[in-house]
Amino acid sequence: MDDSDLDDLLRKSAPTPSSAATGTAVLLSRQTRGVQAGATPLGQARPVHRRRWLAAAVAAGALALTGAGTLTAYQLGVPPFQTLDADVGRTTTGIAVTYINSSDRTVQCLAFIEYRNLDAAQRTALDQVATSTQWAGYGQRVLNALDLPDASPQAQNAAITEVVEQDLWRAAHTAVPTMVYMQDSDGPVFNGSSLSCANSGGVDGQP
Amino acid sequence: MGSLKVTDHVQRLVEDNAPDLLAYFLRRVEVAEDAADLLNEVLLVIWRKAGSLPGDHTEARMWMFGVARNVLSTHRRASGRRSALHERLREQLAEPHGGDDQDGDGSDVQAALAQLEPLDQEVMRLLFWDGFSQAQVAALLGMPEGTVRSRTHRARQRMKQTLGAASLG
Repeated sequence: MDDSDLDDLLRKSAPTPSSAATGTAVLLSRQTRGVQAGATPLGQARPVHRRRWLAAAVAAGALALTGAGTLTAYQLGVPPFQTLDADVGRTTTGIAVTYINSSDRTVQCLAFIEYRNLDAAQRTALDQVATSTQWAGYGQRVLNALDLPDASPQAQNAAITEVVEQDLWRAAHTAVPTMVYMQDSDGPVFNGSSLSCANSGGVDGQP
Repeated sequence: MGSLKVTDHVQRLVEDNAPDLLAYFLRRVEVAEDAADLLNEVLLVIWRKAGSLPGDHTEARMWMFGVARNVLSTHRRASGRRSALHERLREQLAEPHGGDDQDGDGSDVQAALAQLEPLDQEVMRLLFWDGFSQAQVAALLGMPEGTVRSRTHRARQRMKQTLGAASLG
């Protein structure tokens, strides 16, 4: 065996990801750009094992919104349709997350921060987050940055949900600096987020 | 260049190199799924430091692999924090994967490589698995190019001995 033979064997022995994994790596790189494009600085991704609240009222057929009217928490069926654990609170003002999906449907969502162990002043600070002008055009901005024009409406919504939660955490942390991310703590805790979506044709981008 | 063009430029560089970064981690972790964690982490770091990314494609690639090396060296598993895509990638990496060796799985070569000193292993991986030149390996590892050459020579001799002994056995 000469050096050339060995070099050839070495090159061929390189463990290589599957084409599926390589494709996912590219998608992940696009999603990461989307995270960066959010309203607040980049941070870490979300935990896997957490609750996600999605448009319970619409799924139950209780709602058929049309047009581009303003959505309220009530219309989207947040409370009382989506229940919370006894020690968990949720912001009362939703952040509008509106975008046109790959089926050319306008999806209108409201995003809410869920928390534990906040005092009144901290709850007020979180509610004020929702009224910030930083959220103007937010949903479409995130979708554009994700650069997933060919993804299904469901995949687009899932990707947006990921980014929204990360952005809400960072916005919440800015408003309440002592807040920690989904930990067991006696202090302020960011307990996740809820995103309720609806449009004239369905929910969460689904037909 | 406007900010949108700059981010598009960065996106192209990141997208071009993401598969190679994934392969870089896959070749260096004991549990294949950990490569997903590391890729996710390095992408976040790259975007956070996008302003420092060199404009030249080759230099940008070197810069990204430098970040990857730092991420690898300080890796702390954060299994509780993963996006859906991140999870999907872990599942895909958990499935069998291999090299291009049509005559075998390359395990004998990998075993011979594993018997080298750790730094020699890394020199050979960067040269033959990740496709860097000796000068680039020297820059990435922070050592003189002559040292890379001598280590490569020594590693080749030892691997040939190991593989030769294995074929005789």
